[in-house]
Amino acid sequence: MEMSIRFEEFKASIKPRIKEFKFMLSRIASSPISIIGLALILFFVTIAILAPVLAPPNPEWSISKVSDPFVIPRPRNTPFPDTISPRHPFGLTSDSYDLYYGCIWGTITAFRVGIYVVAISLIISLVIGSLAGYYGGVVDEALMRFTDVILAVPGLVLAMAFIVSLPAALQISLSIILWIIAILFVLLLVRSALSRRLKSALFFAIASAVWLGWLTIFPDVHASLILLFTLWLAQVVWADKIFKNPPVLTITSILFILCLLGLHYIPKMPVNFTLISLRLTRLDKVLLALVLVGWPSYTRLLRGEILRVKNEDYIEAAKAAGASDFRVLWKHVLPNSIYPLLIVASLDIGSIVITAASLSYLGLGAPAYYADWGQLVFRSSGFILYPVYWNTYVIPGMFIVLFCLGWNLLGDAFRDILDPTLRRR
Amino acid sequence: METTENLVEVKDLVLRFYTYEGIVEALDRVNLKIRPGEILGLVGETGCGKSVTSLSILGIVMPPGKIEGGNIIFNLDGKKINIVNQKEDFLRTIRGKDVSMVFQEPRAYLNPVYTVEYQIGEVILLHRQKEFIQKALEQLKNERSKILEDIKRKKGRKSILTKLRLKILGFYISLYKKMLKNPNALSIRLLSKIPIIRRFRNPLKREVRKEVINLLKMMQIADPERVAGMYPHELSGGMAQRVMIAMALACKPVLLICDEPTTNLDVTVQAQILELIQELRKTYKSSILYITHDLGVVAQICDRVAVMYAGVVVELADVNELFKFPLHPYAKGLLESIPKPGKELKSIPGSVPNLIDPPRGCRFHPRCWYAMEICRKIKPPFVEAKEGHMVSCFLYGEKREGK
Repeated sequence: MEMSIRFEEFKASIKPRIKEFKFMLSRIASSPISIIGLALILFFVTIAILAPVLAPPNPEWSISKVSDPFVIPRPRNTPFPDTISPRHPFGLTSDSYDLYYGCIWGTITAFRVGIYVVAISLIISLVIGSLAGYYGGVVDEALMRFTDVILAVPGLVLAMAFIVSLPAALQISLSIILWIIAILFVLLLVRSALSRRLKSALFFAIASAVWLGWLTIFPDVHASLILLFTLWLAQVVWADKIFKNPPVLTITSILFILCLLGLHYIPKMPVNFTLISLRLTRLDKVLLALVLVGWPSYTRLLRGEILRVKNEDYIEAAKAAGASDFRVLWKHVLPNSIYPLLIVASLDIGSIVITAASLSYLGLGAPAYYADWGQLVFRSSGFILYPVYWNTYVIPGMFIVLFCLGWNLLGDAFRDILDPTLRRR
Repeated sequence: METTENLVEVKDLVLRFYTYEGIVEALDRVNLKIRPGEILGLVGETGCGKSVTSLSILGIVMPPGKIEGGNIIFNLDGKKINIVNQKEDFLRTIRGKDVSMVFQEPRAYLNPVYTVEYQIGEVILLHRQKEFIQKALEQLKNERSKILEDIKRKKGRKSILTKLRLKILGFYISLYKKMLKNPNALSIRLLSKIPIIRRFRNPLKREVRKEVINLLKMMQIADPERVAGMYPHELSGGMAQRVMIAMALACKPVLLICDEPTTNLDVTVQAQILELIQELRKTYKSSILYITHDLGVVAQICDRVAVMYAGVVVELADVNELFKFPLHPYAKGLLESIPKPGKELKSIPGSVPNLIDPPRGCRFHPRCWYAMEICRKIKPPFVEAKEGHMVSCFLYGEKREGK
C-alpha cells in the first residue's frame, strides 16, 4: 500500500522528464540526417570499445616489443607500403606499419582528443565566461581582452607555437601552490573590501601581506612550517574562532613562532620540492595546445548568451523571490544559456580531430609509431601519386571524414532538438 | 491623526538613473502609504515610475539607477525597517517572504527550463525550509513508529528489507535533525550532491510538493497535479498568471505587489484573476499594491488609489472619493479620458515630459489648465486637502494654509 503510493509519486515526479526525453527521441527520429549522424557516431563508439577484440595487439608482429597498445605493429622491416591482403585487411603504410591496426586504435585516439579538448575547454569557459558575463565591469573587460589576444592569432599557428614551447613535464611544485594561495588571499581581501566587511578585510589584508612577504623573502620554504601556518590560518578561517577560542590560537601561534626560530637556526633545511610531476607525451601536448587555443571562443559565446539571459524577466523574478547571486547564476542563468555552447561543442568534437590531424600532418602531433589517423595520413603523403597504394591515404582519410561528418550531423540534430523556436507542440 | 499603523511608508523617495544621455529623474519625492490589509491602486501613464517605485519597495534598484534620498519604512512585526539603507543579504530574506511581486507578463517571468513545481518549490525552500524539514521529520518518525508497531505485532520477526528500511529511516531522521539546526550546513550541502545519498531529500521534496499542489488548488487551477509537472511554455496566459500568484503567495507575504497582472490577459480571465486576488486578500489578510493604468480595474478592486504623474504621486485618496471628487487637474483629466458611451472622448493636451529634463516646479504645469505663476517655480507640497485625501497641487495647498 505504502509502496504503491510512493511509486505513484515517483511516476508523477519523473513524468515531465520522460515526456521531454520522448520528445527528443521523436525529434531525432523525424530527421533522417540526425539518424545518420547518430549511427556514424555509434559505429565509431563500437569500434573504439571493441578495439582490443577487433585488432588485438600482436607482439609477434611488432619489431619493437612494446606493451603500449597504441604503438602500431610493423610486420616487416621495409620502408615501402603494401596493398590490401587477407593478412592485412587495409594494407600497410610506409615503413610497413599496419593500417588496419592503426585505424582501429586511432578511433580511440580521435575520441580522446575530441572529447578531452572540448570538455576541458568547456569547463574553463564555464568558469570564465560566467564570471565575465554575469558580473561584468572590470572583470569582464579584462577577461575579454585576454580572449581577444588569443583569438587574434590564427588557431593552428598558435597551437603549433604552444606545442613547441610546452615543457616535457608539467611540474606543480610547492611554491606554485603557495603562490596560488597568496593570490586567493588577495582575491578574498578584494571581495571583503568591496562588500565592506571590515573585520574580514583586515584579516585577509594581514594574511596576504604576511604570505606574500614570506614568499618574496624566502622563495624556498620549509614544508612543515608552511603546513602549520596553513593549518593555523585554516582553523582561524574555518571556525571563525579568532576571538572565541584563545587557547588553540595561542598554542598554534607559539608553535608557529618556534618553527620560525627553528628555521632561522637550522640553515639550508628547506627545499622547494615538486608535488606533482606530469610527464607530457606529444599527444598530451597537442591536447593542451588545442585547449589553450579553443577555450576563448567558447567563453565569448557563453558570455554573450549570459548577457542576453541576464536581462530576461525571469531573472528579475528570481531576484525578487530572494535568490542569492550564486543561485541566480547557477540555477537560472546558466541552464538557459548553455544550449548554444553544447551545440557548438558537439560540432567541434569533429573539427578538433581534423585540427589534431593537421598538426600530425605538420609533424607536430603524435609520434611516428602512434595510432593516430592524422599520423597515418602524414605517412601516406609520399604515395599520393601512386594509385597502387590508394589504401594508404584513402582509408585513414575516410575514417577522419566520416568521424567529422558524424559529429557535424549530430550537432545539427542537437540544434534542431534544442532550438526553442521549434519547440511548439 | 492616523489611527492605524502604516505597513509601508514611502517618504520623499528620490531615484535617478545615470544614463549616457543625462540624469533621468525617475522619481521625485514620491510619497505613499500602504495600510495593512488594504488594496492600494497605483495609477499612471507608462513610464511615470510605477514599476520603479514598486521595485524600490523590494529593495531592487536596477544598475544605472540610484536612490538619492528619502526613506522606505517597512513595518515588519512591529519593527520599523528602512529598506533604503539595508544590506543586500538582509533584503534577500525579505524578498519573496514578506514582500513578493506578481509581474505583468507571466510567461516571461517564469524560467523556461524548470517545471512549475520546481519554481514554486524553490521559493518555498528559500524561505520556509525549516518548517518543511520539521514536517518531513515528523512524517519520517511516523513511518518508523508504524514499522516498529508492525514488527511488534509480528512478534519481533522482521525481514531483511524492513531491517534495511529501518536503518535508512534512522539515518534520514538523524540527517533531518541536523538540517533542522542548520539547513545550509556544509555537510548537508555536500551530501545532497552525491547520487543515491541525495535521495534523503526526497521526503522533504514530497512535503514541498504537497504544499505546491495545495497552493495551485487555492489558485483554482483544475488538475493541479498535472499542472505542477508542466513547463511554462505549456501554460496558457491565465494559468501562468495563477502560477505566478501562487509563487508570490507561497510564503504568505504581508505585502503583495501586483505589477499590471492582468494587462496582457483577455477580459474574462482578467475578471477571474481579479476575483482571485480579492479572495486571497481575505484569506491571507495581506496588503496589496496594485499597479495598473486601467481605471476600471481600480474602481472594481481597490480601497484607495494613488495617482502618479512623471515620477510624482500627485493624489492619494479613497476610491469613491477620487472618482467623485478628483482634485488634481491631472486626475481630473485622467477620469475624463475614460471612454463613455454618447460622450466625446476627452484627452489631456500635450504629452508626458522627458524625465531627463523635467519641467521645473510642478511637473504637470505645461499641460495644466489652472497653471499659475507659482506652479512654474516651486514644486507643490503633498498635503491633505480633505480628510484622507492627499494632493500635490497649489490649488488646494493654499486653502489648507489659510486654515
